[in-house]
Order: sequence, then C-alpha cells, then structure tokens
Amino acid sequence: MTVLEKKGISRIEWPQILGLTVFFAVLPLFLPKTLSMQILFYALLGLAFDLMYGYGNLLSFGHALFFGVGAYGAAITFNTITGNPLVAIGVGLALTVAVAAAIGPAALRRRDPYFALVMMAFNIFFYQLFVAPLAPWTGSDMGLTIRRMESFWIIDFSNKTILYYIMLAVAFLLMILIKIFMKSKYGALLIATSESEFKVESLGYSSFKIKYLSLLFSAFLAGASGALFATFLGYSAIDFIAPTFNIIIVFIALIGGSGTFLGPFIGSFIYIALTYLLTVTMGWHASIYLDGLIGLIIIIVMMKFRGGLYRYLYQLAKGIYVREPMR
Amino acid sequence: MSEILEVSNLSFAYGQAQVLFDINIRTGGLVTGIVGRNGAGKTTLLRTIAGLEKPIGGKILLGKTDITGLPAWKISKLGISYVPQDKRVFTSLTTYEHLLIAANAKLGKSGDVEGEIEKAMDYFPRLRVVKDSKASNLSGGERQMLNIAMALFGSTKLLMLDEPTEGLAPALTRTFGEVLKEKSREVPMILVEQNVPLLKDVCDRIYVLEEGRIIHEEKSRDEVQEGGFAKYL
Repeated sequence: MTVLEKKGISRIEWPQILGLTVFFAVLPLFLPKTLSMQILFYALLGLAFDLMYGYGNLLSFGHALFFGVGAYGAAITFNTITGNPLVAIGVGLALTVAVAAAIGPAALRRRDPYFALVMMAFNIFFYQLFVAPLAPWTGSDMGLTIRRMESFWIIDFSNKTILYYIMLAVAFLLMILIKIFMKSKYGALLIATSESEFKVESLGYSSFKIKYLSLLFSAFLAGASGALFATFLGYSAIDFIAPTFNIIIVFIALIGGSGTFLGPFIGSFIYIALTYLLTVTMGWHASIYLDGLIGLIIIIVMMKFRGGLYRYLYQLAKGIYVREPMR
Repeated sequence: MSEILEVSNLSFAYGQAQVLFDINIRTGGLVTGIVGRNGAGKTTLLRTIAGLEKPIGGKILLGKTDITGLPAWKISKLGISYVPQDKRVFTSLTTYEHLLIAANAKLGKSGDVEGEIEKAMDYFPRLRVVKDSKASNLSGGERQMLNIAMALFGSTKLLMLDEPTEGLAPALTRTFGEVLKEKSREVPMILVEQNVPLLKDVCDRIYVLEEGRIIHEEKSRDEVQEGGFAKYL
C-alpha cells in the first residue's frame, strides 16, 4: 500500500468533488454570488454537523456555536487587529477549535439526548455572551460589519468575483480534507465507536479520544465555513450563532441525507431555494412562514423518504442504494 | 513456568448483586480453560479482567503490572486481547477496515500493518475472500474468524476467548480447534468454552466456576485429559 493509499487520498471519489466544484463555479451564472456562497458554506456546515451525527451517532445542537465563533472571530479580527484576510480567518478558526477543545470534554462524557442538550446549553451560553457582555465587539443583535479588508498579495478582496472563486478554492480543499478524514483510520474508528464503544476500547483505542478528535475536526470545518462566509459577506450576523440556527443545520443534513457526502449539498440547496422563493413571493413576511414550511418538509421527508433525498434520488437512478458514497 | 496473569481475590458486583466472589486464578503458558454452567460468571470474569467492568475488590496482575481498574483500552495496549462471546462486528465497516484498525492499534505507526494483515488472512483464508465485504454481510463463522484475527495482531501477551465455537458448524469448530492449538504455542490463552472435547484437546489447566466462585481446579494437562471437569457442566 502506498503512502497516498494509507492517507486515503487515492480512494477519494474525485468526480464527486470535482463535479461539485464545477457546479459551484458556474452557479453564479444563474444565482447571485451571495446565495451561491451561502449554499456552499451551509452545505459544508451541514457536513461538519453530519460527521458527528451521521457517522459518530452524536446529535449536536451546538454547531451554530462553531459557525458563529468562526464568523465573529474573523470579523472582530478584521475590525480590531488586522485587515489581512489570512490572519482574520486563521484567528476565527483558532477560536473555534479552542472553544470546541474547551467544551468537548464536558459534552462528550454524555451520549444521545444529553450530548445534544449539553451542546445546546453551551450554544445558548455563548449566544447570550455575544448578545450582551461582548456587544461592544460583536454588535449584539445588529451583527458586525467588517470595516476593513486589505488586499492580500495581488488579490483584491473587495472584488466579489475574485473573492468568490478564492472561497470556492478553499471549499474545494475542505471537501478533500473531509474525504481524507472519512477514508482514514479515524473515519472508520468514528463509525466503529458509534456502533460499539466497548469493542473499540477492547481493541486498544480510547473511544473518548476518537470522539474528541472528531469533534475538533468537525468544529474546524464549521468554523472555517463561518469565517469564510463572513469574510465573503463582509458581515457576521447574530443569527450565525443563534441556537435556532441549529434547526437549519439539522434540516440541511437530514433532508439531504445524513451519512452521505452529497446529501448536505442537496439539503442546503433546498433550504436556500425555499428561503429565496418565499422572500421573492412574500417579501419580508416570508420569515413568518419559513419555519413552518421547514417543519412540514421535515415531516414529509421523514415519512416518505427516510434516509434523505440523496438516497432516494440515488435509488431512482441506480435501482438500489448499495453503499454510503461519503466513504 | 512464570505466570502471565494472576488474579487474586477478585470480586465484582452489578450494583447490590455480587456475581464474582474472591476469584483466584493463574495462567501461565498455553491454554487455561474456564468452564461452568450458564450464569456462573465466566463472561463477567473475562470482562473484569479486560477492564470493561470495575471490580469491587481484589487484584489483577499482568506479569508484574497491576492492571486492576485500568480502562479497557489501556489493558488492551498492555497486551490483553479479548474476543467477546457475541461475535459483534462493526456492521458499517468492511472486513479489511476491521483488520486495519485492529492492526494499527496493536502495531502502532512503525509496525508492518499491511504485512500483518496479510498474515492474518493467511491464517483465515476465508477473510481474503470477504476482504471488501461489509461486516454486516458476514456469516457467524466469518465474524468469529474476523474477531479472532483482530485479537491476534501485535505483541499480544494473553488472548481471552469467550465461547468462540458457540453456534458454529462442527467442521468450523474443528478448524478453530486446530487454529487455537497452533496459536497457543505463540500466545497464552484463557478459553471460556462448553465444548468438552475441545477443552480436553487444548487446555493445560481448567477452573470450574459456579455461582461466581471457583469450585474446582485441574492443574495439569494429565488431569484435564481425564475430563473430570465435565461433570460440572
């Protein structure tokens, strides 16, 4: 076995990743760039959540926290320390991983509903922190506009088209990272831990360490999505860290197909399309109906298409769903 | 012969219900059998040695290392491999992935993981055939081969097998007997079994467990050959 095979690189389904990259490269021809970017980064956030849920069987109601810390970490750095995008995004990422590292031991000692509740409790705590005590830096309910962003090298970050394709290139690398993780020993161990912690321990692995490392990686992905999306928007909204945002994250992963690589992309597309169409047809009243509609769709998909739309579409195309394409 | 494992006055309780009472066993080279009727505490004893249950009293020494109360993964790292009775596998992983994570755990980064996986598949050629199959599609016998192969990687100091032939076809049981005999020359084992011919064939020492207590011991291969332990089953 070659080194590349050991790291899982040669077993990556490149057509999936390249197909997605081409799709997002041409999407701005049909949709505004902001919406295209939102679909992309919400999908990556959905994937980050799904690493824990779809593969580790750990339902998290706290991934909005990681997305929000990444977004605010970058935005606050832009406004207070430096306009260098690399540094700002790096700080956002570092803060996210630090938060995950701090709350992980408390959350991961619990399973099932308790893990979900502990994650939600931390999300609520940080949300309140961002709304009130940290308001001078976060902008509280108003969110935070990024006031300065320097060009990096010869790249002009104020040009949205250039910025879009830089973000897409980074997203491409993140997708490869997710694939490498899932194809690696750690991906297999995360799944194994979800099936039988005692058997994993019998093999000589600490199940806690496996879950902890997975949570850090998942938080890294969510934080990267938040930091990159806020950098693209030039703004970090308080909604990014709001506990209610977790419902959207769960929606994206479950509707698309939990435990699959392409599922969250489908889920994200549906969510953004719904939001966009409702806003176009109903104006600002749309938000009143959006939550109800999301609930209705979750019920329909869970009743009729258990396993998510990706598996249903896969089955339609191939006759039978035989494997988990993410791995 | 020096003792690999020494269990002294080991006691264990599920809440208020004590199920192991002052167990004393020693295992040196070759194969030590633990027999007893259902509910005697055999599986609990193995789980306690493996670190999956916390004892309420007593001491477990692996060589000179006190492993009492250590977490299961540390005990596994120290060299005790445990193959539970339930033949459970990770249903979402392939046969190869099972072997890969087990070999990685036991051999570390510097070990010849691929070479050891090949050796394991030489031992159980059937595993080569089902290498890329998901474990959920394996038969009971294939699952047991996989579990034993996973336990044999690296510098295993003691292999504990909990009723490995339960539910297997007679031909496969014979094959397992041969493999156990051959492997016991390299790795000492504790074997929980109900199969008397197999026990007589492979064991050098036998403990009989009843209601959580050791009630009989056969200390030599000759004693085991006489099969006196069978009357307790």
